[in-house]
Amino acid sequence: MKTWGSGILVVVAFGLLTMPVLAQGTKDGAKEEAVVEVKGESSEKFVRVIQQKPFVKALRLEIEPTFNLPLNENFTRHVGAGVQVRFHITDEWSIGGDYIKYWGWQTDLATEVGESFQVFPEKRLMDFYAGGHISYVPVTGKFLWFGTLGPVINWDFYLIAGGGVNKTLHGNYHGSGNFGAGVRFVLAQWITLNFDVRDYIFKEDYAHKGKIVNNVVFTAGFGLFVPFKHKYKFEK
Amino acid sequence: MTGARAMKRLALILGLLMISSGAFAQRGNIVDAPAVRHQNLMRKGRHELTPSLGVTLGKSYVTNLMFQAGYQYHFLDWLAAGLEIGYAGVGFKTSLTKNIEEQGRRIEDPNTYAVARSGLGLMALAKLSVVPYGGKLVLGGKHLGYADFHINLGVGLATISYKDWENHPGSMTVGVLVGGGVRYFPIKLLSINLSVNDYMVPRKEVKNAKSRMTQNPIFMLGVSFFLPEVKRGF
Repeated sequence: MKTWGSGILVVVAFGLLTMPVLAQGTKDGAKEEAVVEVKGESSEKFVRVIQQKPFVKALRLEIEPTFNLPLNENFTRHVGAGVQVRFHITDEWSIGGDYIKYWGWQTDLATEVGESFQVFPEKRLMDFYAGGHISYVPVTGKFLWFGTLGPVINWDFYLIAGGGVNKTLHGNYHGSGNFGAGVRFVLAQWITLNFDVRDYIFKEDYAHKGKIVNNVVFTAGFGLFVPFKHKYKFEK
Repeated sequence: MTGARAMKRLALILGLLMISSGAFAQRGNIVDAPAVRHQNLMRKGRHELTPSLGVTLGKSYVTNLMFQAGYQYHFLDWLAAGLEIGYAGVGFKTSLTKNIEEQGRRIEDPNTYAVARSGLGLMALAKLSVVPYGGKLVLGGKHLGYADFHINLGVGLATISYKDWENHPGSMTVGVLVGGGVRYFPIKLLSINLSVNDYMVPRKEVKNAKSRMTQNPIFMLGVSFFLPEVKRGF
């Protein structure tokens, strides 16, 4: 009788122990509450109330091979390839350099205008651009794929401006300024997918007269970050 | 005595099983939980009314302005359908057109005194909008807002407007829309929209050119008003 009683007691005791766990798992679709017991001043070492930034750029080098496509061309069409290298001083500010090599050709429109109107505007194919830039990130955010699917994608929006030299196949080196904006999607701690649009402005010496050229260029590239990981001061 | 020991062991095993099953259930709930709890569904089940203003990009002969009104209903947070009506009959000569006309006057060629040219006219399209990416953003580290990236697809009727063109071809045609853009919600009631939509219509851009499917990318700036209020997800 004694052994039967002890058996029942053990079952009831374990049942009572497990009840809170089960209730926590099912109540209101699993409402989660984290309870942290703070005991004394030393608890500051263990309790973290600031969440870690998911992606840190500060004091990291970003190397970005790029594909470039000028957007506002009529008589010529170019594609470009290049590289951007920038050092992130903080998460917001960075400085760097960039290089674009262009390959170009004339479009059908140039032929059409010549044949239809007997007008033959000068066409200048571009050779390359090289320069430096400064960048600032005013907006950061996070996206979900189709509202609910997949992991959270962190991104930032940056403004960028710089200067350098631009060369066409017919001319000398020309001073060039540029400004634009871009967006950077974080794929992993060491790689981002970047898109930007910049207006590269330079003065070209045509036979008739010099003219300011606006070369609006779309750039896509993968930003490779070195070192590959950011080391957080405190563990998660 | 042996039976009593067996009962004790059975009771212990049952108790341990109950503990472990509870732990598994808890883990299962966390794994199955959505990435964001109580998510603000900025679009799902809402009507969107959008007045917009746009300008064509990179056209050779004419730059058109577009005045547009649109309506969409968002069936899901990532899927919407609607209609848009726009007028793009207001246009300006590009520097190329001006140069051709200047050259025509200089060489006294009456065919190029005024370039016979066409542009977009009235556009009425049914539209489908997909939002592959949506979420939150922080402006300047202080101001929280919501944003999305959306893709637009549409088909409908379009008219062509003609300038300095006598006996021009018919003006009614089919238009196809492909584009994309971003919405920024500073408040839950409205969004500021930036988009680039390519309205593709078959036409002759100038009298001497061949008729072909022309691409007419338009940069649009709009404000969307959303009703009713935002619902919250699981």
